[in-house]
Amino acid sequence: MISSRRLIIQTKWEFLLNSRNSEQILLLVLIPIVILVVLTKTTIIGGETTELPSALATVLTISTFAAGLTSLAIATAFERRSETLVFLGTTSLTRVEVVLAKSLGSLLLAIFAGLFTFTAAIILGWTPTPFTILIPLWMVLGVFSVSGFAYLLAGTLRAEAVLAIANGIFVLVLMFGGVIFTFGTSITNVLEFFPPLALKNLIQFSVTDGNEVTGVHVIKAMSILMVWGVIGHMLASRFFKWR
Amino acid sequence: MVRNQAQSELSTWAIACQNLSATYPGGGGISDVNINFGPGVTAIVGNNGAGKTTLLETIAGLRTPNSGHVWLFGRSPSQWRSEGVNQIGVALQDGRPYPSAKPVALLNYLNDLYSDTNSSAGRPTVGFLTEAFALTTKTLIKNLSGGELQRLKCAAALIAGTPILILDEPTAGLDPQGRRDLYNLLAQVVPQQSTLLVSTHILEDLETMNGRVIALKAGQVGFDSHASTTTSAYSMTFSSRANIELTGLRNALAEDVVISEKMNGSYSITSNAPIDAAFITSVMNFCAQIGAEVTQVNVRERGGVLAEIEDLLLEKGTQ
Repeated sequence: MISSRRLIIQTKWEFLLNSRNSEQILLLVLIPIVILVVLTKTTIIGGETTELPSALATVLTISTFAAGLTSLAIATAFERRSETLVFLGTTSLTRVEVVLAKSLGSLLLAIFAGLFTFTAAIILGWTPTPFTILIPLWMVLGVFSVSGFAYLLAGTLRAEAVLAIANGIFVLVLMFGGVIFTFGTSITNVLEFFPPLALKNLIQFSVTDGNEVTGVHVIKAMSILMVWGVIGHMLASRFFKWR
Repeated sequence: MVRNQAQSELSTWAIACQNLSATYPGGGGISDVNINFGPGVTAIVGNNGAGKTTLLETIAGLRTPNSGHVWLFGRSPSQWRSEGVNQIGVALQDGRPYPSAKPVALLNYLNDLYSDTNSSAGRPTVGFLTEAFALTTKTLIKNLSGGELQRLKCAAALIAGTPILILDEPTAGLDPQGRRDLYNLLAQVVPQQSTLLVSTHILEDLETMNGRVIALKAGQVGFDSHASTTTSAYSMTFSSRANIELTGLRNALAEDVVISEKMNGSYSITSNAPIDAAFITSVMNFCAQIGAEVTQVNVRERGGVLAEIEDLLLEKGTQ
């Protein structure tokens, strides 16, 4: 049984605790905006300036992974070490509520960061499209696709190891996920089957005005995120240790 | 039918442990514990590794038993949990929950979490608990002192407003004054009808607590004051040379005393009658006659229970 009342209280508490953390603000607000400006106004990356919709998709994808993978894994790992997770086991929260509240909390962080990014993009000259409204849904799928792996890391390794590995994966996603740098067709075809590019494509479909996107593209990308999410959460529920 | 009867009898207890075992590959834990708890204070004593934490965490539903059952008012912890009903407020021995929050913020959040209509009646308020446990500090939880952290954990357990309270070593790391203060505070704050289990490895704590005493030894209940036949209310301990002939000493004293040599040269006498100056003089005279010097004489009330537990817990060290 899931109590929506308890879930809301827990999510709000976790969101407030996380959002007060200055590292989180840096990771979730400042870095995305810096990347947005660098991509659209300079030629540092890829030798030419990036179109705003593509840059926006890049930045929102980064925010989603920063929240749903890196910061979720690190926060959960340290809560496991401080036995906060065991403490939660002594409250009236069910395990499902504890996990769901964590995922929802990191989703809220990603959306919160997204609002800053949208504001920055509009200032830079981007016009919202009708499909922009779908972005929260893509972010839900994006967080789901990796949060299971965040729990897998946090629930099996020592907190310091999680800190290093989660940050390492984040850098790998940035560098080689097809999110910032683009690769040739054959590599891109492979990368599309991984969450970073699948999510970036979904977001880019929604923020680009008048592009030719078929339902098949969307369903393919959504399915990829779902499958990764199911695998990650199955592994996490099998191997996660509460202390 | 037989099972139903047994079940209904179990449900009269706040906590019923039935053939409960929770062991670890490397040893330790509890094995085949059968014990029930009702309203009032129960102190659980035992040496480190005797299984206190394992027993308490298994009752709280934080550990899955290898075999046997825990019943809380006749139902398993997981049954209650799946319905979102909290029967036990717990203060764990280890851990520092939500280190980046302030104590008052943690209590406010827990208060919100427990504020459903079912349990809000009779629940202590945040204001009352922060006042009583002196937790108005602005210090983050990660920077709290040991004593403050113990008080916060107790307050966090109490705010659940549950009929059962489990405090695992709440006095760990406190000085004697701090331990007495905490017990006095708990005696004032914990409702009379609550079932309160408190573990400690410090035997002097028992003098501050009034209630049932359970001693765990190597994962089993070695002593239970409810089941004990010990009625002696007074005890005297003293040191002398080893192997004093105890029969002679017993003959020199009143008949209803129990005398034992706990360790080499360390003796314990328990008696139903008060141990007065004449009694002590008789002991001294007997020892003087056989040429044994007597030191470290100690006389206590309620010594029977304490002495029995002390014997039990010290046995391991002398073997």
